[in-house]
Amino acid sequence: MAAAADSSGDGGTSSGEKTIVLVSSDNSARFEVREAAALLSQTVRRMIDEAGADASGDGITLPDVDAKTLAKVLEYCNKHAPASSSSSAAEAAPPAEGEEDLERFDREFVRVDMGTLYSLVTAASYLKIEGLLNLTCQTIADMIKGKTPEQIRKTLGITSEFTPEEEDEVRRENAWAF
Amino acid sequence: MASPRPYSPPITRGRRAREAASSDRLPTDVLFNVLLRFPARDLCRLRAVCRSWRSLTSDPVFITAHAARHPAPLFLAQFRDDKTNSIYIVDLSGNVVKRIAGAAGGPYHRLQCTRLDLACLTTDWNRCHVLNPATGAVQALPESPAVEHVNRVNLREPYTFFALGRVSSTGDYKVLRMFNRPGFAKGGQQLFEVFTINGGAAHARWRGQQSPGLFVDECSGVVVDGVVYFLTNRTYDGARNGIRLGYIVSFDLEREEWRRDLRGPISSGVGSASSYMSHHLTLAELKGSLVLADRRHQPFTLDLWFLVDSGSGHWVKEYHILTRPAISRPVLVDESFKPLLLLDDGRLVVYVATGGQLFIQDPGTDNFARVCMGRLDSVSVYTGNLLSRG
Repeated sequence: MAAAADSSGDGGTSSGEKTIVLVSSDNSARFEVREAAALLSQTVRRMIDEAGADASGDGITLPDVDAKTLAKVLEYCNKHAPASSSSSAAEAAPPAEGEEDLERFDREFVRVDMGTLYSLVTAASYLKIEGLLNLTCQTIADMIKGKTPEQIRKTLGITSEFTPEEEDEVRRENAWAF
Repeated sequence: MASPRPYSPPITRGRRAREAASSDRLPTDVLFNVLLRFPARDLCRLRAVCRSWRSLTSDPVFITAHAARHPAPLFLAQFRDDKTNSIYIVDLSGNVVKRIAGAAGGPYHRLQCTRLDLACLTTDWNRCHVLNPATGAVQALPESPAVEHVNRVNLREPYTFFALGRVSSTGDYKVLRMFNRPGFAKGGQQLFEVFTINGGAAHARWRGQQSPGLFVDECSGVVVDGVVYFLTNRTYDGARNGIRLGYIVSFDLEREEWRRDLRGPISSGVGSASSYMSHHLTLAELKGSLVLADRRHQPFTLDLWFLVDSGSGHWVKEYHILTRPAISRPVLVDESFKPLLLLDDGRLVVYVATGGQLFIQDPGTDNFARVCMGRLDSVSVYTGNLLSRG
């Protein structure tokens, strides 16, 4: 097995792929992932660019993502990462898995409790992972669709804060939509 | 080399509490992303969920982003035999997005065909009101004529034409009113006046304007970017001044003055009476340009000429339809055929008033597909945003 030329000091997988270490917010967990998976996050991409080649030895700390959420996010990234290979660096690499397989994965992936969904969407936004952000936002939108304001508040755990007069005013102003 | 197992600390009470609290509030940018996915009507309902949703969906930044994300064209529609005198906002599939009950004003009011964020409803006996479809606000314009025209207008049996336009440089909305039929027994002068809609109380009166010096075909009037264009009146002016095919007169709402120097693309002043009669010309507005629709028989053709440079009077023929299929002939041959809107993908939306229907043409073909909805009495294009509050 040939090891790929590795100038950054990162560890490498058995196939010689470059990896990156990501550390959760409370420093409690370290994850070593394929570079292609980690770079799905524009935030990570930027951090690497800013830190330069040498700093990546200690891993990149993500102050706003806890260990449990980061593990789940990386599950998504590993699944959706392009199949990296040095020979295809010039062309846009498609994900390693097929379309249908990915859709099935995504559907299962968002079958979580509200707390986890919130953590995921917040992490996707902070990490700027477009696919995951779109998936989680659409999931929340689907949960809202067709529900009354009262049902939505219950589902999402929101308090309305409206006074009775305010509530009347909103319904009157937008009466045509009800 | 195997990856090290991630180490997770035990779940503490504090951490559980933190997680529970965080589910109460989505980050604003995430909420923005989620709500942007809903059509305007759903969003107006979602305003009732909580204060932050209400303020986010009313924020100008959100409204602009939403309009960009949901660019589907909307139309203002008045349906035949609608006893409720409502004005409807419909989309290109014929779905009713919003209904404003009673907004038409009366059974004989008709929508002026414009492409604005306001609607102008008029009768040809001097009734005109302007409606804001987003807020429902209505402004009825005064019936009394301008001070300068007081004794020259038949107020007992008035005959009027109205045109609403927007002056882009100032944001003013102005209405041009024409009084009197040409050739009317008592001299029959067409008299013109202007009213500034949002001009405040000081300007809330009709102001008399100069006459263009010839008779216009008032029914041909269209407004393009704050300028009202007319064809000349064939019967009165054509006969008096010789054949002037496709001669166009315009009233600039910003400067409040007439221009008579625009020639149509069809060679004017040339040709016999028969060639004059064989062209049926109408004006329209598409993509911000004045359009002259020229229909001819034997063989049947339809040309759409676009005025690409009003300064130099340069026209370009952008559409040429030689009708063959049976399905398009009835549409195109109809005298009331009016090009209404040019979509971004090149499809042309037309209105045929006789049957009160909208059709969409496949670009590059002669096929017109009917938009499925009730029969119309009048229609206009709506460019406003239903989320806006003002």
